[in-house]
Amino acid sequence: MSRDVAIVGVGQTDCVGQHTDRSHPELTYDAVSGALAHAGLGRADLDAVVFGTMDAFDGVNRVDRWQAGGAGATDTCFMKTSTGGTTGLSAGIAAYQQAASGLNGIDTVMAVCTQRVGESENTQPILNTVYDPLFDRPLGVGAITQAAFQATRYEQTYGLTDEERAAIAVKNRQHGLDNPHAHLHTDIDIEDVLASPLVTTPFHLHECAPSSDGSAAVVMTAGDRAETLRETPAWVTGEVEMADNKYLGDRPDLAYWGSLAVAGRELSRAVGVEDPFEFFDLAEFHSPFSTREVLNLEALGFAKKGEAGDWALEGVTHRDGEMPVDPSGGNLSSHPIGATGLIKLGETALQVMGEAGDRQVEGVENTLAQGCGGNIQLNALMALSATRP
Amino acid sequence: MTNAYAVGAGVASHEECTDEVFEDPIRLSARRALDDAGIDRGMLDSVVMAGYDTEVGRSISNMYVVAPAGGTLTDEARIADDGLAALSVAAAKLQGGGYDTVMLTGYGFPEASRVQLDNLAYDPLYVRDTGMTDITANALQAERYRSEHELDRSVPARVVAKNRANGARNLNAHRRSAIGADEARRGAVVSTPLREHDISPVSYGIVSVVLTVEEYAARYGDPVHVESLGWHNDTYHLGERDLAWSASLAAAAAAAYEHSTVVADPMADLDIVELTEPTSYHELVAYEALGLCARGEAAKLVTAGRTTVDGDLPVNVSGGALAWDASAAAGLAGFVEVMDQIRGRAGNRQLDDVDRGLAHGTGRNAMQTNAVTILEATDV
Repeated sequence: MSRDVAIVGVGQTDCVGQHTDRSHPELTYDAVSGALAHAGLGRADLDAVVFGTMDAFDGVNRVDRWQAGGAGATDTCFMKTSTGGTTGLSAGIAAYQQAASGLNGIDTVMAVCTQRVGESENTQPILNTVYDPLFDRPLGVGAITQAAFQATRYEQTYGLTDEERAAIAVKNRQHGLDNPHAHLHTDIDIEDVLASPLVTTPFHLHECAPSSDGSAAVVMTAGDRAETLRETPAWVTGEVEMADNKYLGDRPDLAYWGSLAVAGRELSRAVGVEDPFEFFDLAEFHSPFSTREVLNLEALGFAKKGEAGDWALEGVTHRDGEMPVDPSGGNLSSHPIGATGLIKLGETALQVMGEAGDRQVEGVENTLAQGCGGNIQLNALMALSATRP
Repeated sequence: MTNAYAVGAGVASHEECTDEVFEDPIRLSARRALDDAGIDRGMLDSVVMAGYDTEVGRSISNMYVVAPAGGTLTDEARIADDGLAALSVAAAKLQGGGYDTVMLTGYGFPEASRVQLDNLAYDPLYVRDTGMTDITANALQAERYRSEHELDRSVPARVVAKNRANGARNLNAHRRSAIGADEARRGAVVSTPLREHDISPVSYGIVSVVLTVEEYAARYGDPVHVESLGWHNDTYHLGERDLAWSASLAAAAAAAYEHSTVVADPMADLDIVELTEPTSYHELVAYEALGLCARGEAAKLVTAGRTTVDGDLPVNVSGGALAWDASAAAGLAGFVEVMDQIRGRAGNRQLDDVDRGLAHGTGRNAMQTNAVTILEATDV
């Protein structure tokens, strides 16, 4: 039977364009030692470690093997997951399921993800290999173009102005100013966004995530031990990971993210959520492009179809708004791809613990973290609560 | 004890994978596993995958695999290691509740140069420039074992002959010709002490297994219990290890035995063992790490013929990795061999009276990661 599991420690490095003074295992070590210190635990307390990354971005094959020392995972149960932008939450979910199942007596598990996008000259040719080698790949499609298809279809269906899109970027970058770990710390306004170079219609440069190096680690433990380690552990109340159809053109409507909606409803059933807008106190989404935040809000039931477009402009999704989204600054402030999801999970845990510093949202009880990867194909969600289930 | 029961197995052989589009043999393997279990893909609560992106030449390769393996709008998880390491992910899902039936698919589809990729797995600061690959790392381990135990060259050659004779009867295998120990001994030197036949081939193969919980296992014709499992990791740096031994395999096996209610003395209690041996020497290392014999005694098991199909503990009845090494699918290939032997469905390789067996998978860099599982006949 499933056991109660809570996050009891969070560690993360600063996200930067390139960590030139750290090797891969050293970067991993920084996040892991931070999470262990936060939890008040040592390496010997870990029963298992789940590592996540995307090899190709780092230019090292099976990079997890090299990380084992830095992750505190030599001579212990260790595995590596790799699901694109979903990786961080995939690692979090695998770690949670190990602790929840009690398989082989496992109680305490570390999830750690390190990604060094700064090692890649250009990530888009790597992303291009997720596409069918015979038909799609020669078109040169990548993460930016697929998001642009989605954004364009949304704009055609529901309407979305340049200002509304730009306000999402401004909101996230403003949030990022208060996050010492965020990669981009520049104060921008709507005019700056719209004056930045057009990357692909409709996205300007500031509406796109940066390429970041960074590492994040989260320690979870099962049962009563969590309550002895932290005053307010962040209890896992639900998780879901779901795959959509691989082919963009076979999806019924790019303006509405059907598969994410299915995943969201499954999570809501598991957690007992009737109205996500009322239930969740904040969300950390996987939104590497501005429009993605709108699609996330609508698919996950925070807003009706076509109604979330002006939320950032109107302040609804600001840290002090009715539905704070990405109080950490989100992907538009930092995006170490394979680690981003775990940063999200760690950030939501810190919010539940009331330890998010200048980015703390007041009165947080329930949070939602999202990971997304592939050609917007793989979705993962995790819900945390200050109250033990 | 785990709450995982294997109720269906499906294999796309080396031959069935070559010259095919990646997704097609995955579908073939999964379809066979579903048919074997007598269910449709709509019954799957999750698809758990194991494979390496770089080898198959596709980033986030589970994107390609999940639908042909039976999962659209279904929970999915993917491990970049051997399929038996991913078995622990599936077992945790089944044990933790919320999942009743899981498809586990391992894929080996070598569309990129393994030698080049294996070199890229070594750290770029110190080791990569030495030209280290998986083969040279395995050779270092083999040589260390050889010198530690003053191993006669005839012993690994006999391992090759045994496994290749077994593999000649396995229609799924890659190398399907039997060769004698003399021929194995005369093979071209690849990396001292390894000769060509000592090294597992770079093979294609997809292996799928349907797993379910005890409650539903009874509804299927022929369930096999995943009695216990263990997985473990070693240090990355070869210089930090005792290469004449595999500490991580010994630890993975110890975990599997600790949580098993049926295996106390593996040599006496097991009826079959299927290994993923990257070289013939590693089969010897594995005998010792699995506790089939004391350290340094593996050669005696081989020379006494105790691990042949006629011996008291047949090892690699399928031919093992020396006959077919489909990368991340290799451990699951052994899993299916043990499963079929227990179910009495191993055809021309069927042994008498198989009630329980052990399967092993490993993840390169001189067996840095290892996973072990014990399967047992069940009456549920």
